[in-house]
Amino acid sequence: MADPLLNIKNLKTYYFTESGIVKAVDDVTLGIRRGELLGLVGESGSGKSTLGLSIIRLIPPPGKIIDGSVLLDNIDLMSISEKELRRIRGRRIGMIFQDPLTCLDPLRRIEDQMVETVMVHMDVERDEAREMAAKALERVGISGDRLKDYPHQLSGGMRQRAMIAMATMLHPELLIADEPTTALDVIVQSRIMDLLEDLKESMKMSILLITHDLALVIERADRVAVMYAGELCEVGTSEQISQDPLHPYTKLLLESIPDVEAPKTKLKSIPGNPPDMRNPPSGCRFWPRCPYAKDICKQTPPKFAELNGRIVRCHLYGGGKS
Amino acid sequence: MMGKYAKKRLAVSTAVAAVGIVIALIVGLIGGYFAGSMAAAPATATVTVTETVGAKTVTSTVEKTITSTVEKTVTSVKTVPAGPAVSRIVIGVTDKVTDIDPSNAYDFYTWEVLSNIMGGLMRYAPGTTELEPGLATGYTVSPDGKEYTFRLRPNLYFADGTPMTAEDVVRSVKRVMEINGDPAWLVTDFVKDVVAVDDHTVKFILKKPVAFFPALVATPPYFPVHPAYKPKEIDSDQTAGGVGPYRIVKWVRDVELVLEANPYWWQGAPKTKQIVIKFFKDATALRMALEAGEIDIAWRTLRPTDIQDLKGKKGIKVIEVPGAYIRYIIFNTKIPPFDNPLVRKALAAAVNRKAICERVFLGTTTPLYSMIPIGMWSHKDSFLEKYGEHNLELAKKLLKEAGYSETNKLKVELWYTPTHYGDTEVDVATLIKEAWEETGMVEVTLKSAEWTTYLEYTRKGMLGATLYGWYPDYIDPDDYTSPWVNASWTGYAYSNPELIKILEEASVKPTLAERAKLYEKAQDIWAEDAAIVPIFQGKLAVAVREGVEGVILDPTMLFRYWLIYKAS
Amino acid sequence: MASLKAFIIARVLALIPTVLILITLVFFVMRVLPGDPVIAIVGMKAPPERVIELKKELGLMDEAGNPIPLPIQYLNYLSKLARGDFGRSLIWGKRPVLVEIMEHFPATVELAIAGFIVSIILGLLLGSLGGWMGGKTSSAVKTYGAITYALFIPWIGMLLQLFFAVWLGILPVAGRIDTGLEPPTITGLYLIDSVITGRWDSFISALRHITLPALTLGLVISGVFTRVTRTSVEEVMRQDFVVAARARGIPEHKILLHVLKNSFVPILTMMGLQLALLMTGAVLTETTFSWPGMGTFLLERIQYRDYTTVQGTVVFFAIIVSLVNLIVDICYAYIDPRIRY
Repeated sequence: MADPLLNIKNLKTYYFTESGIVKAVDDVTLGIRRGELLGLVGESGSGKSTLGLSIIRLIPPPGKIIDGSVLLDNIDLMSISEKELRRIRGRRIGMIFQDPLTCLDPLRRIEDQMVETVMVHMDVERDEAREMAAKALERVGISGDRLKDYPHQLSGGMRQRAMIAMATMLHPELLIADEPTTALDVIVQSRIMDLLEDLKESMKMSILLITHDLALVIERADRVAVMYAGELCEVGTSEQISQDPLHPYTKLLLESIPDVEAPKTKLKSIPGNPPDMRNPPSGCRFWPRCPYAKDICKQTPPKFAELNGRIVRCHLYGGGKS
Repeated sequence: MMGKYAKKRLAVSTAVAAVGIVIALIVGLIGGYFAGSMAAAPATATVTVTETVGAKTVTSTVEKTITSTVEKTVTSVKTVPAGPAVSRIVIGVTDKVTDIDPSNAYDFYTWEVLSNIMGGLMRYAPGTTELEPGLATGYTVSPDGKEYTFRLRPNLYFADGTPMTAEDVVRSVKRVMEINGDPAWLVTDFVKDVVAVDDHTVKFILKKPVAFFPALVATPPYFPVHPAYKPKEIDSDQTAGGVGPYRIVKWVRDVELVLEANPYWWQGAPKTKQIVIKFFKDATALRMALEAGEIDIAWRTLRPTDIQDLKGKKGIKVIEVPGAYIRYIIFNTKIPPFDNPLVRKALAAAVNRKAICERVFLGTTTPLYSMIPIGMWSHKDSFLEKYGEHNLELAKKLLKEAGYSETNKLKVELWYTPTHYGDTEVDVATLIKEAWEETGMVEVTLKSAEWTTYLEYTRKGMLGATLYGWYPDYIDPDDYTSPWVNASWTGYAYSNPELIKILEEASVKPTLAERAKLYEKAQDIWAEDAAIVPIFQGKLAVAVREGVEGVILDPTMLFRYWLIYKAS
Repeated sequence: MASLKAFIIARVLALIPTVLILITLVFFVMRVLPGDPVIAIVGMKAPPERVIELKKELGLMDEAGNPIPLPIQYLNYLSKLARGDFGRSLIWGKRPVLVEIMEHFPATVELAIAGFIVSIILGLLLGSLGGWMGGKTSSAVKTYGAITYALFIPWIGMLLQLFFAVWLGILPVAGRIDTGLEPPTITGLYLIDSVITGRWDSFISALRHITLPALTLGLVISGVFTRVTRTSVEEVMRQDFVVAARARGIPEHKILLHVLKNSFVPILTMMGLQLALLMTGAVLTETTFSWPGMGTFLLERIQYRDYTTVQGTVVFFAIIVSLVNLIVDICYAYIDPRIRY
């Protein structure tokens, strides 16, 4: 794999709820390359957001990272101290979220929140920090004089831009973007995505784009990882995934994308419901909804198989053998 | 792994908790420091006090301090710091001072204060109910008993050095008549006119002969007051006082009253230079303040349980004497079934006075069998002689005579008021109910009403059986008898022409022996009618810290501050 | 901020009907209550003529001895009030009501402020501790809140008196200051006046006297603050901006400050609402510690049916409470930029 920035290996994050253990991320191994936009797709509850938060260890209780490692340039983020990790958060890894309104402190000016972030990571004077903040804002297309505004004074798109400015102002190597456009309308969505792509290019930054929107990912991402019920199903380039999906779940996901050119066609949805994560099906977790399910799928969990440089986890592709 | 995250949180919250502990520590340290510094404070203040108060200094300075304190009570600060331990006594009370003006004050505690900052022509000899000359050296009565002439002591002065003459007596008494406040009837009912015969002679001309007039003259409405009192209106915060052992140097309503020895008092300086009265709102706090040594004397009114407790405490002395305070039941003779004398007699016989005194008041009250209290001349246990104590047999017999039986029970309502007589009142009512029901022929319903309502209903004659109490106005059998007979405030509950005649006669007869005979007769009639039935008599209890001497209490219920002192 | 000014003016104007309704209510309720104030004043021994005389004096009867109807009494009262005349007390020397209020009010203000400070320190500390830590700490704090809220002031006050005053002897049982140490009146608050005039002995004495009552009052009110702070902090902790801040590497202590600021709006609301509780609490605290304030004063005057004093006091309080709520509202606007009037 060329030039990996971040290596997630056998990561397990479980939620210990009162009604049982939820294996939200179960044995996920995934690499993110330098300068790539990696899309992580899955239904809600598939554990994609948990994976994103696990990378920088922000799992809220009762969640816990049980096992695995996340290497950033050979630093294992899972075993360094909280203090060391805090120097990485916001500086080397930035993160943005779905709802920019709730992610900004409503009682403080944009400026104060940005300046605080700068001053936590860098030994600079307040004025210098303010200048950096203004620059970061201008980079995302907001005029620097909006620094004095409170979050509620900005529009939705502007708020997300501000969030992006805040997350990227220290030039992180990786930006985790958790559903960054879901709360926005379509036109703003694409502008924000353009902005992210621009920043990726200009800053040579990697982006982990977490979303439920496969169409968006295929359009924008370099590579795509598909997640189902806490496990990865398949990883491949956008082209591979869109033209030649291997995993049955990926296929079904693709079919469920509405075709913009032919709006009259009937939308296909994936039959069945996502599994109860406290008590997932034995064997392959997808088999109850899988049109190709065989007996082996119900008993043995499939293993990853490499196929033409692509990774897929399905008994159809010899995932049965270890 | 994520334990680190939780640890961080713990660290933050520990820091928060630590701040709390530090604050607590600081408060504690400061508290300790204050405690230490307070112990040292009085010692340094001693010198200044002895200098300012010590000698009979120049008159003008005394005047100055008085006027300044009168106008701005709160600013009189530096003049009265903590005095030397021996010459200052702190008294705690739960009572309040209403008007420091004899023209309108009509409550026990204010009368006590007035008696210490003023004085009457006559007064009671401490520890007795006998009169002795006060500001007067004596008096003469005209043959028809309608003119009393008092001869004043020579050289009487108000607390600021202003001489007091017969004219001041006339002015003060006429002022009371003019203002016509609550206690004015003590003057207006009896006095037609008052004149100054000369500087040292006052003559009262009465409407009719009044045998107990010298006792009236010993009450505050007759006290001469300083000319500073507003002539035609109530002057409730006037601190100029009269001719008494003490003068007010500081008065903060409901908080404290500071008295200082009056250098001009005719009897010479009192033993204790400064008396501080602290006003409490809660009897428990009063008791604790005594135990903590914040006050030297816990006076009116400690709870019976606290008195019992304090009796066993080291370093604290409890002094008890019979008080002039009485409690009784009023039967309204106009309301059935109380219009039937047999019913009233039966209920009077069944009352269990001893149980009430012992169980409710833990022995701080005494059973009473006459309206005229124990310790007063002419007192006679008429009710005991007639009905005995808790005499159920007699009660049953009388009830049967009245036509009641175990099956046809007498049904009565007994009214009480829940707070005015203390929180023990419901227990008193309950024990009376129990005693009556013990006959097996009576069914009692207890009813209560808040004080003002209670008074109003009684006045309108709507309540059949009610519990009331009485503090005397003047210490004379007349004040324990005539106020109930044919009285509007009881709703005219009791009227007996024969009794009225005897009481009137007793009030004008000049000799004690003649009067006593009449009152004895009146008490027997009273018991026979059983319209108003005495239950018990209060005891006065005061708790003092060891070393406080000279506490003399008597049925007048007035504490004489000028007799108390600290031994050490 | 010009709009804020308009808001304040509007609020002050809105105060008028509120106060008017209160006056009317109090006026009629006091008169509907059984119990004749005149009898309460003159006592049981007074003759009927004296009762009539007093009724005339109090404006309850006209010169001919006929009772004046309630509506007329009410109008008379209002017209006097409009001229700033709160009237005179019916009892004890007929002192002006305003004078009586001013005699008792500073003591209550001082106690209320001190109790408030104690309760806020306790409430914020414990509440944020519980909200921040969650889990067992949160439950413990919850229990603390429930217990203190249910505490009976005379009981806890007595325990404190017994322990600190009678046993340890380090603090006084009752009262506001030692005899003769009162500082000159400037604000009427002894603690402040003694500092202004530099009378440290007075300050120490006043502080020693206020410690136990403030602790008692503060402890009891702290329950409510603890609860509000805890739930509010817990709620804010769940908000995304906390995670977002952590994702930016902001240290926990800074996050706690932001969380507290965000939790403060409901706490502030509660503070405004607590005024009523503070008053009832003050009545009991004042009685227990013989504190010469408004609480006991008002209670006593209600018992005596001292119409004018009770009315005057209630009007006074209505104005004070409204003013405090106005201040609370302005504080909102200051803390939360989303609120603009």
